[in-house]
Amino acid sequence: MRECENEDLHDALPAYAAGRLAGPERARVAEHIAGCAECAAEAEVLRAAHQVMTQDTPQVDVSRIVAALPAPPHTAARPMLVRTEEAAAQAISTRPVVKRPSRAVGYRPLWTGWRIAAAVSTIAIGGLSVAVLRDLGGARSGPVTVPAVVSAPTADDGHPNRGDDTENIASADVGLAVGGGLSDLSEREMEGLLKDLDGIEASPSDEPDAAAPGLHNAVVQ
Amino acid sequence: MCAAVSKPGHHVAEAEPSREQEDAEDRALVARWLGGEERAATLLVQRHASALARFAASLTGGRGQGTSEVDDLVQDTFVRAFQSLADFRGESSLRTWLFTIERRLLVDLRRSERRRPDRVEIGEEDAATEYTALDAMVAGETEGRIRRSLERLSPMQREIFTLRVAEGLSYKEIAGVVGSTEGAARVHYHNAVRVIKEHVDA
Repeated sequence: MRECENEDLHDALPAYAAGRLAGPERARVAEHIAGCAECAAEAEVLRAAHQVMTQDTPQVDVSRIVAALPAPPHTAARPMLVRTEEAAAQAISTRPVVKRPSRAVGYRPLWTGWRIAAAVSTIAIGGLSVAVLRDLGGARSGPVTVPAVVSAPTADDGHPNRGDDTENIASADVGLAVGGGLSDLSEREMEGLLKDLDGIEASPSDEPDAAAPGLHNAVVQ
Repeated sequence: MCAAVSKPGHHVAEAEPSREQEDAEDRALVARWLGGEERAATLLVQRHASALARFAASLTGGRGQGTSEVDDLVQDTFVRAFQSLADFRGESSLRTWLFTIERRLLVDLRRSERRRPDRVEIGEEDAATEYTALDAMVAGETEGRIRRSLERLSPMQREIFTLRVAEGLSYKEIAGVVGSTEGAARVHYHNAVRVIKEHVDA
């Protein structure tokens, strides 16, 4: 049965024994235990218990704990910034030096798809342009620049019928004739065609004119 | 009735930084870590690892001493805490919050160990012999008695005594950690003190 009725001071004994009190509060408890044998004895037991528990504190490996901790949220969010439109545009413009974080890999199929679509469209438009230019070449008053390389692979590809592409295009449905011709091209022919297409794109006068709306519609479809 | 005593040799440790000061420093470190400063995590672990290890030892009844159990429990506590540190609103001190997480982790662990009841709680017989050999080697008889008396406490008494004496928590904070009431925490503490005093005086 406890005899000391000073609950407030008695409650302060653990903090006093552990050295967590300072200033007037510590002095007040010290004054109390100087006149209270019960609290003095208890304070002594608590002091010894605190000392034992402190001495017996198990050692823990701080570096091991820190290594297991997650990264700060600000750091973890940095890759997300790369996925913004502005950062993505910058990544494209500086493609050779940008190393995308793994989480941005998800965008690649999208861009690859658009690139393939753009390449196919360019080839189709270019092919149509070449065909139309060759077909309409005779009707034009001015000189028409028809890349010689377009006909050269045709003559070398070992297909006798391919030597007369102009006639095929003129006699058949325009869209079908152009599509079949492109699909039959060899790699060399395709390379030559692509090189020539670059030249055509650089010269607006070589674009098919509005006289052949059917060609445009065929490509769009 | 208080009896006057005179203890000229009585000594207590020097005053440590106040709880308010420590809490403020903890909140500042938490903010720095949330802002991306990884070193703040190291500082926070250094500040609280020992306290968590002490509490883990009290929770495991001393059987974690010298094993990796305390280490693992402390590490898991920090990992769990840092995973949800953004949700820490500072309504309690960081250390109290860590104690709560640590205790819950051990409760979950014990639930998963229910098929191995020998590991759930240390028995009284084990407690009585736990430090028998050690007692012969410890320098002070009082310290040896204290150690044995701590092992004789019930798990709840030992937890609460550790939080109260070693960590300086209030009864309200203790009640929050152990999921009890202030009154119950006070009763467990006083019973623990009584057991220890009886054992030391015997």
